[in-house]
Amino acid sequence: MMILGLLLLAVATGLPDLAALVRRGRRKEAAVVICALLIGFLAALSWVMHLPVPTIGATLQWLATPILGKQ
Amino acid sequence: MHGRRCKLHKEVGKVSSAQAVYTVVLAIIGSATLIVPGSMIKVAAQDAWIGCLVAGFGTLVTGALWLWLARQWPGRDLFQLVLAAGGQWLGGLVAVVLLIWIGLTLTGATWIGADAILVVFLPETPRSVLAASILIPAAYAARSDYQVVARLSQLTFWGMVGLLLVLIPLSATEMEPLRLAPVLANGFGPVMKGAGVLVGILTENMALIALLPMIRPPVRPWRLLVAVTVLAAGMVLLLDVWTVSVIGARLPGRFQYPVLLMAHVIGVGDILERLDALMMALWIAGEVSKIAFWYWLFCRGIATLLRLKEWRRLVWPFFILLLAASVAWVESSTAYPAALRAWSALFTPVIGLVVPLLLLAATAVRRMQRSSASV
Repeated sequence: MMILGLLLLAVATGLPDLAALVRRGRRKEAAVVICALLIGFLAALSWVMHLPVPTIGATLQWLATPILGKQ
Repeated sequence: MHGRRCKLHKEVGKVSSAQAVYTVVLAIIGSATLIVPGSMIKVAAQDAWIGCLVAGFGTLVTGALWLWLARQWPGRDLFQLVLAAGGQWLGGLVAVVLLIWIGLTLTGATWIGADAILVVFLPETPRSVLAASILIPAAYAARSDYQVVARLSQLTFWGMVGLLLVLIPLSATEMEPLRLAPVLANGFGPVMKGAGVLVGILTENMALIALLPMIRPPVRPWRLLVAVTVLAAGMVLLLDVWTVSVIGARLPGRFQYPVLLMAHVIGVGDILERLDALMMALWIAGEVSKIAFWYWLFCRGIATLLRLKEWRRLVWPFFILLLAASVAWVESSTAYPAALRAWSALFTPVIGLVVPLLLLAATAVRRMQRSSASV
């Protein structure tokens, strides 16, 4: 159900602009839009499916360990 | 088109210098007004206000570096400036770093906005729904371009100032100025740590560069930088002083949103109760202004970097990615301050010092090469 909702959200937020870009022949812009939708959908899916992906905060803390030390 | 006038901004297609100042001030403190006082007081206790002064002066220097760079490349917005100064490779790399930083700033602000509503008012609502309810109006404003963001910021800024002007005098009887006396029990270390929290946020004053080419009539950018930094640092200073003078330095550190706690207990007779709800509403409007500005800059940046002809068409397609990133920022409120510290430690030196100095050096080298070639 959540995956269906995500698909609907991706279609609703991306399709009108994608269609307009394709109609005008703006291929580069359309490619960027498709990439954004795909990455966004996968990111949202990983969160919905509770995949063991580290949070942004945890990644930032790991990257900042040499500066701040272990927190 | 440029000659037309409307009530809230002087020319259609441009913004006034005051609107630019309000926009950047809210882009800095939109989410900071409720979190940063608590975080600073937790680290520096009653000396937190000294940290505000240190952070204000420090970020005036970093902002001045960016303005100096903008002066070398007049008439260009932030990403045009970066690409012009750094060239294809260095400029491209810096633009990618800026885009990551802007993306993290706007998704972090969305997370904290959703969290505040969740913790204080709607504990049963899913975080994703609250994040989407903040991100949708921000996306709408961003797509409508910077004039709409500027007008939203103008209205929200005065709303926030107006509310503080009502709340602070109402709590005047509870204030104890002696609580603000500097103690410096552990030296300047905690003060500098507290200043570090604020510096990370005030470094965003460089966002002024993005609006400089759109300001009509043009004014001296230095004045705008000083106005933005003084207003943003001054607002946090005011909240720090207010919080410590009313409830002391121990209690705010235990709460994520101490300013809301204070607004909760203040009432105007039996007429106006629960002013925290009003404060929250204005704060969310400030959050939306902040997120809308960074969302606008994010889409403009991607379009400039990839040489796309349309940036507005990117706004809604990026919505799902930004929403997913907003929800996945941290797991809980308790993890947010550490994540904020890490974000600040990683990006503040880079955005505030390394990038502008690198681009200034690249500009100087390019000019020298050009002059030697012409000789």
